[in-house]
Amino acid sequence: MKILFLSLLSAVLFFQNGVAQVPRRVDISFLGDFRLFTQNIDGSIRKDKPTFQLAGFETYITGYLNPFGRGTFMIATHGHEFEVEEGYADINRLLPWGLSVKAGKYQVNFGRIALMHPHALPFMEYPIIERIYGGFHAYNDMGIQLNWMLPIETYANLSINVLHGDWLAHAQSGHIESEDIYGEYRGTSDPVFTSRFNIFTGLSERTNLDLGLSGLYGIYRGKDLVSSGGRDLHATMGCLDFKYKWRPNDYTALEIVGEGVVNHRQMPDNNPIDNWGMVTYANLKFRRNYNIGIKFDYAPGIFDYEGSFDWDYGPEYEYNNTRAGQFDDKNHTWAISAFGGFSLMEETTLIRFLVKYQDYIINDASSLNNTALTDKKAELLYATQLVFSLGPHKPHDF
Amino acid sequence: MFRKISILITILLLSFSNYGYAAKKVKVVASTTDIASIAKEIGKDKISISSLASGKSDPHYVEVLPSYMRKVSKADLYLKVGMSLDFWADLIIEGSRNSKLYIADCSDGITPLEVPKQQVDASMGDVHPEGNPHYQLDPENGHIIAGNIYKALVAVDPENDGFYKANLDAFNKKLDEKIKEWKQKAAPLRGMEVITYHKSWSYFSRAFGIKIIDTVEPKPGIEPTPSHTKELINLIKTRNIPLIIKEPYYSNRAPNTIARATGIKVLQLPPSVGGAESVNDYFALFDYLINSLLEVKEEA
Ligand SMILES: [Zn+2]
Repeated sequence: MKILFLSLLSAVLFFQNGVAQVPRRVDISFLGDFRLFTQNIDGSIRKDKPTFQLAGFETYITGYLNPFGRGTFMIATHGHEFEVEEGYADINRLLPWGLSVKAGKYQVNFGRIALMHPHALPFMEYPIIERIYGGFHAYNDMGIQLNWMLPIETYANLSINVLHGDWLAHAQSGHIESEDIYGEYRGTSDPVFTSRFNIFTGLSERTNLDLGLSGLYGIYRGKDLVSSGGRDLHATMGCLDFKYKWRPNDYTALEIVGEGVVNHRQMPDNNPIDNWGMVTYANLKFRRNYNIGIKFDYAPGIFDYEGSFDWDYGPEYEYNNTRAGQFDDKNHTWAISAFGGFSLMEETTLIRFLVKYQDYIINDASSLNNTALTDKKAELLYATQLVFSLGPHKPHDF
Repeated sequence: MFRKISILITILLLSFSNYGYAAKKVKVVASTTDIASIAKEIGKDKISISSLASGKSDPHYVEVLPSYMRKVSKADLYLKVGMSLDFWADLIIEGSRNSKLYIADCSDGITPLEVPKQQVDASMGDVHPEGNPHYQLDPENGHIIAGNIYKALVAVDPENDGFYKANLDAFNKKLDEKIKEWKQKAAPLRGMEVITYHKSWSYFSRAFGIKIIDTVEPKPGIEPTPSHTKELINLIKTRNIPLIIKEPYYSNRAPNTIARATGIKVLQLPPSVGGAESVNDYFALFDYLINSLLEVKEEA
């Protein structure tokens, strides 16, 4: 994987440095995410100790492929190996009737938060529901996406994804390689379908609202697996999301974002599991370079791994614990976080702070199947993050 | 009631129809109000025009709103400022999914100021490799912008070439007359020393002989720092500089701090059409700027 990354990178640099007679501009950004955190989790070797961590290193490469579309690669490491987190082609200005197509490996637009990279989120990491339902990288998958902009006055878009889908069965969606290595976990190669409809409307000159409705349908455990009870087990999910943004002037903005997910799982014993989770946050940006905010998480299951920022956990661990929340309709995790940030120069140098209090509602310890979870105590996390980035300007999204 | 419904139906039909009278207009979207204003002079009633940045907002940072994408998806022509000022427009154009859109760069043929001699990096702040992009503030550049808009309009609507050409000639003639008038009127401003917030005024100062001594921003696009503000205070005191020019979208904080320490006047001036009450077109912009500066000059 490291070799793939290095050869890709050197290929890009090679073409940039004028060996090709006609320079084709490619934008490259490098991003480092350095953290210092401490938590109070009993039993953790890091309890009450400051921990330094290079939580991520990312390379983002994008450029036009032709007059109609662009190609994008996001290659990153979160500790061990480099991997292609995203690699896709977008064809935006070729098809008629407001259609566009995207194909490759990308962040799936199930809800709106998963579309953002974690370092672009003001609170450093994906919300708990994104991790429980969408995996480590929050709905990252290979597939094809078709978009249609509706021919009405307001901006409205309908998006349909046909996805590889194995992440739905297994833990770490981000770790799907080109090979079908997790097929054996899902027991089928049938695609998973998702769709999102969103509508964007201005409430006033300086206030905008985006509303989205997403759905997902697919087999999460095929009949070939023993654990399926001999039939294909389907997952049906829905997500309602919104973003409200008020910008009283160019350098002040209040954004309020919310996302709620409902999840229905067929089970081998014919007793389906239904659960839900949500996240909502408010973020105030002020004086151009500052922001402060608050976030509330509520999710099914016991969201557990060695301290919120530890990336050193294997798929098995996540499978047994974290994402088991998909199948837990009795116990819950909730968290409240306060966050803030300051940038010396927009996009390039960013310092953030986070305080998170996380607690659990354990109604049925027997279903957890793991004593480590049944006596989970509330935990407190303090973190500081430095994000530094080299590369061209990026426009401000809504 | 019946009438209301029939009006509603008519409006609906018109808005869906591609053949109505309204639909014959060339739909033009411009990045800024200045370009939109000049385009209006060339296209008159044969075009419909709107701009994405308002005259009061910072043209360096326009949010990429889906509603802009929708607007551009229906357009025939997009007019860019160019020189990386409206780099955000690329994402809006991409998001518009408009395969028929004609894109024109209005900076074609402009002689840029402040082109960096070495390679640009972030230590210089937000410096554009193509040079200073605020070229609309030299009225002579209005001719070049108008010429570019004319070429673009002819490219999308060749049938009306004659109409656009006549409007271009009329605009150029009027602009020449106005430039003569402005230069005469602004003669007392020659040699006037000012501090500006951002480097928005380089072309303007060249055109009218105003001397920009320094900027409130330590580097383009970088927020004022205490040390630079202190330097400015000393500079203003020693050179007796009478005026800080501030664009409407920047914060008053640093200029006010400097004003309290030195007694310097802070004047908010719009670098774009729509940035102040009476500034309704490209001509009114220079009228307003010159009159405002003359008032300060007289007071002092
Ligand atoms: Zn500028």
